[in-house]
Amino acid sequence: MTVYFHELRMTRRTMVVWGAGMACLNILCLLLFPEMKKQVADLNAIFSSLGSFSAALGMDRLNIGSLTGFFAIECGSILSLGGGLYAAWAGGSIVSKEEQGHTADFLFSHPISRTRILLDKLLALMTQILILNLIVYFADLLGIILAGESIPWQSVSLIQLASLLMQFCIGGLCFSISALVSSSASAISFGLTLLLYFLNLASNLNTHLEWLRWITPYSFCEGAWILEHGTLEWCYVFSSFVISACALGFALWRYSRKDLLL
Amino acid sequence: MDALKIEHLKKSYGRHTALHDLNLHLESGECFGLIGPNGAGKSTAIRSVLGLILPEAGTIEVFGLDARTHRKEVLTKIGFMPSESFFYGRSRVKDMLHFSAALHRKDCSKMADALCRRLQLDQNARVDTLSLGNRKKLSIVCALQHEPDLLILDEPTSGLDPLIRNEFYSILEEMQKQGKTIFLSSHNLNEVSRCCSRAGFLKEGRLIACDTLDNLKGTRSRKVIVRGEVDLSGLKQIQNLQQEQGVTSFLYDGSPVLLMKALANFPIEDVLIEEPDLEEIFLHDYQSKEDRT
Repeated sequence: MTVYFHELRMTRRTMVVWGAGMACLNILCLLLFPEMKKQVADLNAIFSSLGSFSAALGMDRLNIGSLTGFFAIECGSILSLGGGLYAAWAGGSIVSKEEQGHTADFLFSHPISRTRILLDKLLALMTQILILNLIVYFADLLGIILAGESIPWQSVSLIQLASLLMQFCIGGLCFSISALVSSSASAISFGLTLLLYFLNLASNLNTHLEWLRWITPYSFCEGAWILEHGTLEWCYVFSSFVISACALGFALWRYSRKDLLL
Repeated sequence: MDALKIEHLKKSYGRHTALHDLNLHLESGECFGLIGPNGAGKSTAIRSVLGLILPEAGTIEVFGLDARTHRKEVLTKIGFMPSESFFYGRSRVKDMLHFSAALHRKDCSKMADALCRRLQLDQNARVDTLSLGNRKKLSIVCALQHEPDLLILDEPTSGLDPLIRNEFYSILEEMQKQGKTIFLSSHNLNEVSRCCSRAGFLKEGRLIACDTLDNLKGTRSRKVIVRGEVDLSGLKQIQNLQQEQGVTSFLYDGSPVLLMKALANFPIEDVLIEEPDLEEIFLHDYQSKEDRT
C-alpha cells in the first residue's frame, strides 16, 4: 500500500480545496432556499417557460419550491459537474503524471509490479472521490440545517450516492485514458466528461437518443427520476460500471506492456 | 556467476533502431563502464535491464534471473540512478528516502543518514527547492541506501561539484570492496577511467569495442593541433589530417619523441597536444579498425 498512501499524500491539498469549494457552493445555494421558497410560483412559471432546456435538466418534473426539488436541481448540478470534473482531473492525471513529470524512472525501477502500482493508484483515486463526496455530503446536511429545514435523508443520500457512483465511473474511464495516453490525458479526460454530460442532456431532449443513457453515467444521476422512484436506475449504473471496468481492464493490460517514456 | 548478462538485445523506436544485437557480460564484483555519445543507446540498454522498456529481441539476466520473468526479484538486487533525477515536487528529501525504502520493504534509515552526511544533503529540504546537484545527491542516496548487489548508474556525476564527486567515487570504491557490481554509463571518459576496470564503447546501438581499460587506453590516440606551416609527410601513424588557415590538426598514436623531432624542423608558432574527445575516438580510432576488419 506504499504507493496508495503516497498518492493520497500527494493529492490531499487539491482534494480538500476542491471539496471545500463544492461544499461552500452547496451551502450557499441551500441558504438561498428559504428566500426562493417564497417566490415559488414565479420560479415554477419561469422554469416551465424554458421548454426543452428544463426538460433536458429534468426541471419540468421537479418542484423547485420543495427542498428536495431545489436540492436536486441546484446542488445536483454542482455535484454532477463539480464532482465529475474532479474525477476527470484526478483520474486523468494520476498515471500520466509519472511520465510527464519524469518520475516514472524513479517509481518503476523499484521492486513493485506495474499492475500493483496501477491498482494502488486506482484505489487512491476512488478513496479521494469518496472523501470528496463525504465532505460535500456533510456540507449539504449542514446547509439544510442552516436553512432551517428538516433533512430529507433518503432523497439527499440517494442523490449523493448517485453522484458518487457517477464519479467512480468517470474516474475509472479517465484513469484508463491516463494509463493509455502519456500526454494530454487530463485535457482528454475533461473533454470526455463534458461530452458524457451533454450526451445525457441530448438523451433527455430526443427520444431517438435514449440509448445514450446506457453509455453516459450522468443518466442515473437525474434528481427528478430519483425523487420520483425513491431509488437509482440500477440498469444504467450497471452498464456504466461495465464500460468503466472494461476500459480499466484494457488499460491495465496495455500499460503492463508499454514502454515508459523518459 | 555473471552479475549481468545481456544477449542479442535489440530495440527500435519506430524506424530508428536504438540497439542492434547488443551482447554484454558483467562479472560479479567488477566495475564496468559503458561509454558512448548521446543517442548511442546507453540509456536504452539500461532501461531494458530495468524493465522500463521492452526489447524486441534478446535476453537479460541479472545474477542468473531472467529480468523479464523475475522483474521484482531482479529489481530488489538493483540500485538505479537515472541520468536526470526527478522527484515528487511537494515532498521533502526524507519523504523521498522513506518512500524509496518502503518500496524496497527495507529499513534503510542508518545507511540513508550516513550517505546524506557524506554527500552533505539536507534531509529536511523540500525536493522542489533542490538544485540539480542536490537532486543528483538524493538520487545517489536512493540508489545506494538499500545496499544493492548491482549498481546501475546513468551519467552519475554530471552536476556534482568536484568535492562531492570525489566523495561519490570513494563511496563507489567502498561498495566495490564489499563485492558490489557497478555498471556505469557515461560519455565522460575520465569518469570511466577513474572507476572502471573494463569498458565498452557503444555507437549507434552497436558495441564497437569492449575490453579492459588498460587495453583500451593503449589504443588511444592524441589530438595534435599545430599553428604554423608544417610538412608531416614523413610522420606515420597520423589520422584525420586537416589543414586550414595555417592550422594543422591530426590524431597521432605514434611515439611522442618522433612527433617532437618532426615538428622541430618547422617554424611553428604554437602546438597543443591533448586527449581527443570521445567522438573522435569513435570516429577515427575504433571506426577505422572496424572498417579494416
